[in-house]
Amino acid sequence: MINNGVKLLFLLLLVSGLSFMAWGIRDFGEPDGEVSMYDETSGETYKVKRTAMDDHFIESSQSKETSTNNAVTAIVFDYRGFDTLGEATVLFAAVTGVLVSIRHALKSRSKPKGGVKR
Amino acid sequence: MDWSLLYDAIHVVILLGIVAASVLVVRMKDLVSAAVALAAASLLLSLEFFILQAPDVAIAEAAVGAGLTTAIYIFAIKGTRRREEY
Amino acid sequence: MKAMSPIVRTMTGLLFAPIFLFGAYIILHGHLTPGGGFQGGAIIATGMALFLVAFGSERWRKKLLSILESTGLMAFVSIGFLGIVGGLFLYNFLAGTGSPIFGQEIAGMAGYAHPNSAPLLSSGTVALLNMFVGLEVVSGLTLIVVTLGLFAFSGKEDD
Repeated sequence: MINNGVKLLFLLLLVSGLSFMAWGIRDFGEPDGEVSMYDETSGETYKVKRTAMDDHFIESSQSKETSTNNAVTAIVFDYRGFDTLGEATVLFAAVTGVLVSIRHALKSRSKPKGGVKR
Repeated sequence: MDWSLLYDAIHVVILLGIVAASVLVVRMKDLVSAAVALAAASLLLSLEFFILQAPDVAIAEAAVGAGLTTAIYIFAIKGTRRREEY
Repeated sequence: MKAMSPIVRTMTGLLFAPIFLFGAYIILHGHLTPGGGFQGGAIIATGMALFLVAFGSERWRKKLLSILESTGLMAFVSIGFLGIVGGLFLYNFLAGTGSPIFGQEIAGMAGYAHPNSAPLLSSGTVALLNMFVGLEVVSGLTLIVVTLGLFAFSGKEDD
């Protein structure tokens, strides 16, 4: 077993790294300027704060940068591909958990009848 | 013609359907019926997602919520008891 | 697990191929139309659950499904590492290069002339990642449903 000093060191390392990352995070949304939008039903214009990242996604996801027609898929599988990797890992872990916990019981339960070939 | 009132009416009908199906899920004593009511609530929720112009989420919700989750719930009910006692 | 009535089996045999085709369409057109690997994989897994319930088959090749699931995830990570060629993990190194593997550009996008038409072989690694995520989701969800179903129905045959 790992002793407590190593555990404490690892925990401190993790906490320091995560707090360093949280310290350096940018503001949510990070307003980069205002864009005037036109409301069709009321017929008046209003100002909307848009971020530089939104404009980048909208303008360049369909052009040469990813050349994907579906901008949602472009964000999910290209710009935020690491998130999708995490999602696939979560599904993999779920399947592994189900198989580990069920397979043994399934084998022992279906053995006495003897009619199941696998 | 102004169609926004019709859209509001469709939203209200679907959301009331979700609420009614969810109340049925809690109130029913037959657990298979409760699982089917949960599938109905999930299907209405996917319809609402589709009306709110999120077809990706609507497809995922319809396939997972109304299909696979119901199958897994019914397998779990088959492994235990069907009636809820109080 | 017993098979259901001949009506249910016939209808399942009729419906299984369209469900499979629709799921494959959702996966393969993930970069053009709404949907993607996860959605299409869930649709195909729903068809597999229907097959399991209707026919009551107990002879599923679980080892093959496990291998397919691992293959999907490992191919995802491998494509991610291939992106280091372009400088970043999961970099889209095929898009717009004109290569025959999903490398075509979308024509007429400069002034948004044709915002809703694109060739099938566009989008670079996005289509490949869609396919591999679809493979992983199909085999993973099928494995979950089949394992739980066989576990729930294996103990008692009478009811």
